Amino acid sequence: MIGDHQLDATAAELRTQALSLFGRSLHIRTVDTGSCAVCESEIRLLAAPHYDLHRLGFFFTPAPRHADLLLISGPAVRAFDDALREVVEATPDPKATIAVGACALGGVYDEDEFVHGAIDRIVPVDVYVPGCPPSPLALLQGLLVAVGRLQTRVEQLTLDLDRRSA
Amino acid sequence: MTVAITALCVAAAAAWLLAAAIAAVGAHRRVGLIAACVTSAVGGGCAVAAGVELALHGRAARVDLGSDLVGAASFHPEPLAAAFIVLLGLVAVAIALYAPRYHQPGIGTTVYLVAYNLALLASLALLTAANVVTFLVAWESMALLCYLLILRYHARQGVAGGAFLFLALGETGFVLIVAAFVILATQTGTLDLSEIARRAHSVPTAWRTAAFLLALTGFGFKAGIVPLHIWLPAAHPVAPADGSGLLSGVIVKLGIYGIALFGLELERGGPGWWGLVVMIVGAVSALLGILYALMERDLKRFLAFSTIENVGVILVALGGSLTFGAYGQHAIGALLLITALYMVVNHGCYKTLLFLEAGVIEHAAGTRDMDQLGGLIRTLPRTAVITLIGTLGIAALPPLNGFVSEWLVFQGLFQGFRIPSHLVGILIVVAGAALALTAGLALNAFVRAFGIPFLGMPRTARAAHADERGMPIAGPALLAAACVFLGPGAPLALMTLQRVSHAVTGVDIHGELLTSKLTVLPAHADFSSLSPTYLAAFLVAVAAVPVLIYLAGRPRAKSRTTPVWDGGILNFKARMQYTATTHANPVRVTFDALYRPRVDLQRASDDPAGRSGPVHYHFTVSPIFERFLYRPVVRAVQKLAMLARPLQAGDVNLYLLYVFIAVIVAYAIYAS
Repeated sequence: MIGDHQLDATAAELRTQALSLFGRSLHIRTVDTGSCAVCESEIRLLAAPHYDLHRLGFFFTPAPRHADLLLISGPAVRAFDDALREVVEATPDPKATIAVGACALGGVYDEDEFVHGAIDRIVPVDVYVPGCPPSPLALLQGLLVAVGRLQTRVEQLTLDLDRRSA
Repeated sequence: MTVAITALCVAAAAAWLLAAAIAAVGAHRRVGLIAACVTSAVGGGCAVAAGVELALHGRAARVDLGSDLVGAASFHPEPLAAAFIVLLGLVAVAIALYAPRYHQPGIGTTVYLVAYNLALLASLALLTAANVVTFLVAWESMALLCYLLILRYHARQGVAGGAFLFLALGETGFVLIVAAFVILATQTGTLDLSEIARRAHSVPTAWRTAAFLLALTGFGFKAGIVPLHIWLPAAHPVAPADGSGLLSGVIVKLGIYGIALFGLELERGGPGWWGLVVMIVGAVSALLGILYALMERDLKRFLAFSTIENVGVILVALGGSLTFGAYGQHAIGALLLITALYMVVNHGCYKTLLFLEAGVIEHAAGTRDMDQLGGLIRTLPRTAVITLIGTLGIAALPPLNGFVSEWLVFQGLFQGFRIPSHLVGILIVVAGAALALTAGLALNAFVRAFGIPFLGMPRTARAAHADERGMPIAGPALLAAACVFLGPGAPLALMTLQRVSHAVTGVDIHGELLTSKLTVLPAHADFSSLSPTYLAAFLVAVAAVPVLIYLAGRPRAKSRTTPVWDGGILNFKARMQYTATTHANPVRVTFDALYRPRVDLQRASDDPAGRSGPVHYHFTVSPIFERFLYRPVVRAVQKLAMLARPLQAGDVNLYLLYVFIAVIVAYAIYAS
């Protein structure tokens, strides 16, 4: 069992990072590519009072148009290919994608005529969160890494803008 | 100036007569068709000028044709008719610009155009009539000629029935109108309208009330007040688009003119409850009109029901004018009269526009059913822009004319507290509340009527391949320009109509209505104020801000264009969109008790697992007035006819017996 002090530390770091990045308004869109819904129940736990993702400035959004982060679970069934690409396409830059759970990482299903077996065979993935299912704390740490990736992308974008306006 | 008005009216009449003649001779060829329409447009222009001149300078010269008392045709344009004459002329010009591209040269078009131009002439004649006989002859000619207009495509299904309803209800109304005139004429001993107006105050109140109520009912048939309205949704869809435009834009308004003529001009007001009756009738018509409109999928039937709503709102303003006048609040009475006349012109503009564009849609896409259209804004962009202007006007959105008239009528009604009688004050405010509900529903109805056909994806192949090349544009565009002008230009229009109201009621409220040139007050400075002109300027300025920011430019992030997010649905189909039926469903459920809908639900199979196959859902609103009001009347008439049938057995000997008995009886009476 992971102690609460670890949660507190992760949370504190996440909070400062999110604050500096998007003014405490980071929106997450979850995408299910055929998971057994256990990853989703763990993701839902993030919003429960114990973890309370909202106090850190993270919110779930139903539309990719408003999302900064994509939490993708499931083994990437082939029937979902176009929809998954559409979601990633519809999410504005800068964005980060997180593959959640053993299926999404390629640990459960082999590639066959029904599934690709791993998310990164279809869309680029920034952060991998293993576990079947991954615990909420693991998800939090995954978010922390993803926010770091976002940070560099935002800086790069700002530099681009400065260069262009100069 | 009086000569100018008369000359312009005569010029308009002559032009329309000439247009009818040209159409009769040459409308089977395109040149003749265009020539007839140009002449008709010239007549319309003359009528507009005559109406404006009449409003600005008051009385015109009198024209008498013939000398015999009953047979004489006399014309004497009165200021009350000014707004109606302007509207008649404007609609005539718009339709003349529209018709050459809408109609194909041929024998049907020839008959149609002759009847149409003569109908314009008859309308002008009844608006300028100076005696009862001239008025009634002009009225009846107008009704019969409009019957011919509706019969343009007489071979099509439903046309004969719709035209018959128009004629039957119109003639029933005509009988009541004749009765109303006969009462006034016998009580005052004259057939001259201005003479009747001078002597009417000496007529006993009971007779005056009888004449007013008969006129309200008789003209109500033409104006389309509920429950006398059933010809509108039957006749409008079957007439050609420009014919429907004339019916809704002008002919229906003539009913309102008749009611105003009796209430304000001939009888010069009456007891306060007259106005209340008109207001209640108007409020009920407005509310029921828009509720039924919301259930219609056919564009033209929808517009016909919307006309019933608008007529109701105009009647509320007119009734309010009578009531406030009767209770000594002459300033507010005059304000509401001005509002009613302003609404008459407004509604004539945007409703005619919408009917003309409905005709364009029908020709371009092959159907008027909203649920078979969709996405027309891409295939018919010009039509979409013009229709949008008309829709904004009729939905009473600022800064167009509908908004200003709606604001004025509410400001008038909400001053009901100035009437000492609490009951009357409360009734007036209740009518205001009914109008507020109507306004909300009307907004909903017109979001639906524009959004379903024009936005989204085309629902059928015909809608996807709609083509507006060669379709008329100038006529509707002229009316759209009039809508835009009458909104920000409302102070100018109201100033002109104030002169009309001054001439009719004798109350001058120019100082109370327009304090500065561009600000309108509802007759009392301590109540509220609105400047339509500044409002329009403000809205344009607000809309310009984002454009200016865009044009000023700023460093922009790299942008990427992706398709609209549709929830990941890969194959989005047109039939997944909202339809006209689903859009109106909340209203349908709320007002279920009124609609009593009949729903037909058919499934291909009754599989318990829910694999039903295609499901067909069809619903119809019960026509309660047809069922509970008209059907009993029709049955009673049929029963009476059955009773009378044995008298006419078809036997020649029997008829000879009748003749013999008649001779004996006549002889006996003469001998005694």
